[in-house]
Amino acid sequence: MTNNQTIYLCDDDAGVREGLTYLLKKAGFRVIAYGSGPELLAAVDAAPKPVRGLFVLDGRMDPMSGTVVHEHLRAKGLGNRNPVIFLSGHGDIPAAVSAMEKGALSFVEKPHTEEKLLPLILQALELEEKWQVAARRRDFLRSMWESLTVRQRQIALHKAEGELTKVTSDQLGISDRMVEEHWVKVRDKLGVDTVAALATTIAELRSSGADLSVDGGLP
Amino acid sequence: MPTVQFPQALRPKYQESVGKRYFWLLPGVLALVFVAMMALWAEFNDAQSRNVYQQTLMSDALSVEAQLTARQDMEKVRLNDVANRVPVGAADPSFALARMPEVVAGLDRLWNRLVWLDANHQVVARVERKAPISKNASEELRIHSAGQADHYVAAVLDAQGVVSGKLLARFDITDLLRSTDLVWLNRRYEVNFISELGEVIATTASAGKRPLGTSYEKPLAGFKDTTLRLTPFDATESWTQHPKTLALLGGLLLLGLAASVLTRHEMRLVTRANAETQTEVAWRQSMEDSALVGLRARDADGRVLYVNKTLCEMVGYSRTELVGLMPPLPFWPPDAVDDMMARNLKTLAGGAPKTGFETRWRHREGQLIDVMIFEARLVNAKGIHIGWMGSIIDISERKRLEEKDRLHGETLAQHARLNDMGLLASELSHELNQPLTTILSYSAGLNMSLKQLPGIDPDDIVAMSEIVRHAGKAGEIVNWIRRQASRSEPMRKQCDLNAVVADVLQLRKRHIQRANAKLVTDLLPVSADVMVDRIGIEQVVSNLVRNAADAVNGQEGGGVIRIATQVLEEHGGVRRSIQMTVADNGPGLQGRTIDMLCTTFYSTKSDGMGLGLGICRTIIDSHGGCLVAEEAPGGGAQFKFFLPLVHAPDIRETT
Repeated sequence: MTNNQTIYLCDDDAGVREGLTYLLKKAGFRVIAYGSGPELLAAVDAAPKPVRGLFVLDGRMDPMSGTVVHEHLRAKGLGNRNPVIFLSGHGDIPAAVSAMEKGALSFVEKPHTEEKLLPLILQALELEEKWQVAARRRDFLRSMWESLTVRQRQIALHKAEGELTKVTSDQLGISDRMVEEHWVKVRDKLGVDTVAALATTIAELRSSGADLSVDGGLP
Repeated sequence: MPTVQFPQALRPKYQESVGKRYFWLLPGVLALVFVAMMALWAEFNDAQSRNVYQQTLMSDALSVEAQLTARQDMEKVRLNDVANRVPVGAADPSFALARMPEVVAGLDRLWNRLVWLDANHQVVARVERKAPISKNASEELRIHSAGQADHYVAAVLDAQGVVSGKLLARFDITDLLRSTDLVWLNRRYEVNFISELGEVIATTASAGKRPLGTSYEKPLAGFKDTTLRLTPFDATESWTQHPKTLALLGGLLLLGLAASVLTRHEMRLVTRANAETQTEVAWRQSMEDSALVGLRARDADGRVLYVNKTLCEMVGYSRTELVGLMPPLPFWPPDAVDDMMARNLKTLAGGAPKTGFETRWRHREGQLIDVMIFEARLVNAKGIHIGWMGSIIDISERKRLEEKDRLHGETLAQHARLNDMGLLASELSHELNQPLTTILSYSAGLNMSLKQLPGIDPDDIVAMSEIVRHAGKAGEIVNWIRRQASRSEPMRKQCDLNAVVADVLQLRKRHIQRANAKLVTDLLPVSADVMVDRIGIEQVVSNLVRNAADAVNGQEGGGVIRIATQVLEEHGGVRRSIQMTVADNGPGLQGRTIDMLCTTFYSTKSDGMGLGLGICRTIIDSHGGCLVAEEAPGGGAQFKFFLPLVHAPDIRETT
């Protein structure tokens, strides 16, 4: 657990909210509690990026249910950065299952004991640490990719396929020399020395769901 | 007349035979035949009478001839007399002869001249008449051309009887005719005597009287070259010349033809009417047969007069089997014949409900059919009530569907009830889990803090841990109850509604206080025992009280919540129920009905789930009671529910 991690708690029941806040603070976590989904989302928007920590959401809230709040968080791109734990007041399994399918880490049935909740939170925070590292790496790769020109991206994709320079120049209708010059730029920008390293980087980018189209991310 | 086009099968089968079609010709033909026969008969008759007439004519002509011949014979006899006594040897034979009386008479009578010749044809004597004959037997006979003469000859004998000469008596034929009495003939005929040359010698013709009949001519024997012609005045009349006969026959013919024309006209009318009737019959038949409604006509005694095809198919008996039957009818179920006979009598007496009645019949093959019967009075043309017309609708299918719907509805209600119980449990568990979670959180947090405090009494830590453990246990129990409730029927036990109310009020005390409401209770002074699912009823009462408290929250001048229980008697005390009322003086229902209020997830409160009243109604309904919402007297809302009382013999005395 690092000091910059925060537990964002959201429950519309004041008793539960305050009680949990008290417990989690006593357990040594940094906790910010909100009474409704919109309040939480507004706070997330206002917080400095990247947002660190995890979300603990009550499933049944008025006016915005936990599931909807989760949807909003995912839309903000926090789905693979910050884990979400649902507090299910009713054991409504279908809602919980659906939340898990959409990326929630887990759900805890109320009333929960600290024996159940606290380990889960610790586990989630560890996960968050890893997710954040992965996210940073992803962002880094993506920014490098985005620094390539259209032609360089084409050359990179062709190279990653293991194509010979002649074939690439033929297909793109440019000279071998031009291909070689672009290849030098690509290696420089992406920080790779070999075609193998390039292929690995491209695969990593693909798996992170990045847009590898030649004009993706360009103005 | 509008023509109706029927499909082939429905077209009238009426086809008149050829004999019938031309029947109208009969009077005309009969008249024609009769007239023809009459004409034939008259013609025959006429021919016969003509024949007779001809005969008469011929015989008359013969008579004339005979008369004239007789006259001539007489004249010849007289001349012979003269010849026998001629004065032979007289000095002056002419003188002597003229003196003979016979000669004088002869000359007077007929003769013009008498000549006596001797054997040598020398004139011996001659006598002549000087004046014409004055005597005229036949006045009417006019002589057209005199001069045609003839003569008689008689031999003169001498003493020895030898012919010594002869007498020649010359006479004018016209004189002979004139002197012959033909009066009898004149009346009937125009008589003409005609010479050899064809000219009329003598005639009875006159301008004033014209003969009409056919002439008959006969050459007169004994007269040289003279023909008698008789022309009757009276023509033999032909029937065709009789205007009366012709008028009669013509009239008869006209009558016959008129009769034919009329008959034809009538026959056409009849044929058309017949065709129309058949068309209508066919139309009605097809209508009755195609009707989905069974029809049955009965007379005032209940005898079946008529059934249509639909009814026959409904019960499986043919028309011939049913018509004429008296009750009991074969399609009545054997076990219900007595009841049906009774109702039948009632129906025949006019007691059948106008809206129809349901009954059950048995098809010939045994299956029961539900029917709806509507009876209508059958009234004849004179307005006399002669029986009943029944319309029968087979409602078996409808009944079956209704039954199915009912079962389906019950199943649905059962599911809804279970579902609502699940919702209730869910609601309850939510209500309880929230505070339990709070307790757990605080106590767990406290527990952590306590452990870090220096010099803490270990008992305190244990106490804290116990709180955590028990709160957790409570949560588990709540969840267990919810799971149980969501799949099982609630248990019902006899309990006192007053006690339930008291418990709820105890629980809701703070809520009421917070709403700054005044509580007024008007409970039965004795126990009101009802057989209920106590948890459910508690939930209902709790809900109503909480709603009332919420409604009067912040009410100016202070809200009032009134809770009352009372016994209601229905049907003269046979069925009794207990009524519980929860009233407030808040804003009231504002036009909302109990149905709207009970809609799931319908809530007037910002923090309401919209489950409460729906669950309440379901719970009350499942107990055989009912939940009512109305405006309270003096403003505000008032909710009531009724539950059947188990038994409370003491309540009547005390209330």
